[in-house]
Amino acid sequence: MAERARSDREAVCAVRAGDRERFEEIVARYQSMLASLAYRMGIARGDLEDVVSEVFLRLYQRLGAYDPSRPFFPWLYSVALHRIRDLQRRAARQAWRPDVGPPAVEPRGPDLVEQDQLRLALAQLPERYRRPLVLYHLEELSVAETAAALDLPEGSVKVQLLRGRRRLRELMERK
Amino acid sequence: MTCRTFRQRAMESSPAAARQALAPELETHRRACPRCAAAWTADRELQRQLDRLRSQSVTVDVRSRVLARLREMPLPDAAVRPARKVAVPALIAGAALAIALLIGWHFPGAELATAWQLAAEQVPQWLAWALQSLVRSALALARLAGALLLDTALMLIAPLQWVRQVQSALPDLLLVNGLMALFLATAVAALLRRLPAPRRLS
Repeated sequence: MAERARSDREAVCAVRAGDRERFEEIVARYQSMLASLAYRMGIARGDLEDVVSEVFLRLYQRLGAYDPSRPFFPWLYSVALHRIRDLQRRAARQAWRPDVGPPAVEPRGPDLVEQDQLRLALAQLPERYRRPLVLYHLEELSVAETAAALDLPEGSVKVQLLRGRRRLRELMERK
Repeated sequence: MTCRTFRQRAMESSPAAARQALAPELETHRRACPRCAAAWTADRELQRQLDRLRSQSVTVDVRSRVLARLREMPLPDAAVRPARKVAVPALIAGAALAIALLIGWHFPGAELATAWQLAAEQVPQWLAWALQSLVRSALALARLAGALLLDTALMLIAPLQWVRQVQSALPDLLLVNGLMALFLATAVAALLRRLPAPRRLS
């Protein structure tokens, strides 16, 4: 973990100093993680590459704002969540719907149907609950990391997790 | 054990704890309470589904695509807006200065000094005067915002008239201005603490 943090910091400093190629390290290290995050936040599989690319481009643009004395990981999540939310809002204005899998003609096993239901329920949750739930339960960030990524106090994150989990349970029970 | 305690301990814990078996006292309650048992079962089911969704891997490879786009972009801009820790003191200092200047501008002469030296029984009269001043100021559109703020501040310090012994310790109006500015700056700081951090420039 400490090794990764140090490596992240070095890569960021190098990119800021003008070595764009070092950004590839960051992309290689985090692209799958960001794809998972985007997918869990309700982005369709077919749109993941576009969204992840957009997230990295925004990350690159904002790299100057990163404070190297703080952990890179929660900051990355913070930037990614903002960008994903912006893209979802933009898509919503163009009648975006949370994609819960391939077209219905394609056969879906019971596990996949169940996961689709969970993703749909997550997409129906208010954002203030969905974001901490995804970071804590699905991305396995700690409460402190989740709080840092969302720029919230830890106490607020705990309350949102509790309420979000209740709401999610209710949504799943209705299905 | 109450149902509330059961739910707090068995269903509102961390995911790792939710995957473990129930403690004996919780298990006893679960068997005795059908409602808690049903809620617990639903919670475990949710945890199982979350675990499954987490284990689902999603992979993409956008390296070449991102790097190609990066080459067309300028280097990351290091110029950002001041972070909150810089912005807050600057805002407080600015607000304090603005208020002090506003007071000096709005009451250039002896009006404020007169108000400060009022006897306790004259306070209602002074309050009426302050109210009139407030109305007058509200009508002066050009100075509306500043005047309202000032009159409110003056009304807030009216109770200080009763502690007239403090008056002798006040050398001049500068201290009065300073106290009011400090009060309002504290209020501004308290308000700012409730606001989200300023967004950085992209």
